Amino acid sequence: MTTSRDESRGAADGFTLLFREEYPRLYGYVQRLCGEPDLAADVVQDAFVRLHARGERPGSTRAWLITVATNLLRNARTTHTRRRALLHRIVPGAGEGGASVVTDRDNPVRAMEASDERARVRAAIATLSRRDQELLSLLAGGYRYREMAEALQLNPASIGTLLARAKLSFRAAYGGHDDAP
Amino acid sequence: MTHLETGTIQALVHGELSSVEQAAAIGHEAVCEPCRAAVSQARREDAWVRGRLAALDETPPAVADVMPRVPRTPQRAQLRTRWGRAATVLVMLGGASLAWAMPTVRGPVMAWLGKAFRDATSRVAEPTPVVQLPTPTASPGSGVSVMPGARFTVTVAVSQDVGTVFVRVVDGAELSVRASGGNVSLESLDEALLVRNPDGDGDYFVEIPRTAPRVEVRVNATRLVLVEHGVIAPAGIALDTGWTSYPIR
Repeated sequence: MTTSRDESRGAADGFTLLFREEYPRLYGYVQRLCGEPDLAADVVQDAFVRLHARGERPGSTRAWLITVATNLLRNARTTHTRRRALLHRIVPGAGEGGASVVTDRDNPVRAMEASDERARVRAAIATLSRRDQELLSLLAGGYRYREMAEALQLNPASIGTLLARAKLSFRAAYGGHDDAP
Repeated sequence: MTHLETGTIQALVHGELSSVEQAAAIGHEAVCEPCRAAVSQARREDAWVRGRLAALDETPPAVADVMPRVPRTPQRAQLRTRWGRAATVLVMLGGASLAWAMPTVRGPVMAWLGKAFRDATSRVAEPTPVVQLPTPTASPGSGVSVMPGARFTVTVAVSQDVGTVFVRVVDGAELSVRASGGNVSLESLDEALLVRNPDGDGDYFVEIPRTAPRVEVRVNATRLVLVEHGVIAPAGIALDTGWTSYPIR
């Protein structure tokens, strides 16, 4: 029969499987939001470490991971913005660029994006509200409505309408394009 | 005629309507030209937005490279232990030299030193510590054991899409099911066991006796695994603990 030691080991195995299954999708969600692969990897790993430290599973593991990763990313962005402002005060002109993708000198990946589709999409996304950004990134990651609603603390019945508005805003920000619907 | 609302159209496009709602929406779309056009436009727009967002995707790092790992034994502590043992052996050698110079105590002291030396040196050759994840606190969980008949079914009725069913073949006559996580109820029926966890996420551990002719493990209406006379099919992810795991999707 099953012993408590077996169960503990099984729980660790379960966590390993969960990590393997959920890591790529959660990483995709965070990476689309921030555009920084290293930051995304750190945030997602931190979210999983917190889940592991928690011990038992939350009500909806997937939604819980999204919520924690979203909050961690918001905190990381706030810190980044503060540091940029401080740097600007000490060295005028340094750290300028803000939302501009092209002039971000400390991130070569962003600089490389300047001339391609990615830069255009990212610039359009940056004009949206934080909620719309998060909803669209979750949509692109294939998350379900109930997971979006729980993770972002929204009414499940309103997700469809909110997604329609977010897509409309994105299309307007992206601008005219030949293959636009 | 009431037209389809924006949210309903989006939910239809994303496959988020219940079967009843979906049938009603498709039925309406079939007889309403404006709604048919709206749904068609919503599908095109959704594909277009997803296509643009795909430009942001980066290949994630390999999971094996980012899996959190911690050593079971700190390396520094192990080094200290090794130096400590080396010092113990040196002290023993010094003691042996002294005892050899004193014939009256030579016999018993040498016998004791010989035993202590064997103990100390035998412990130095420890196996390399296994690197693995720390074990989380196991929840008490719920469990039940039953005697399976000729054709037995274990059904896990859940709404979760994250979790794992572990299956293991064991000696003995009883079939055991345990669950951890969520609010689990277990019901023993005729030739069946029903595990309900309607609100939460959990992992499920099913041990099946080798002698049971046929045991089927289901997640809701879908057969996950079939065990016939100790043979598990289909093959899942085999773990070194003897469990075979099947993710709930």
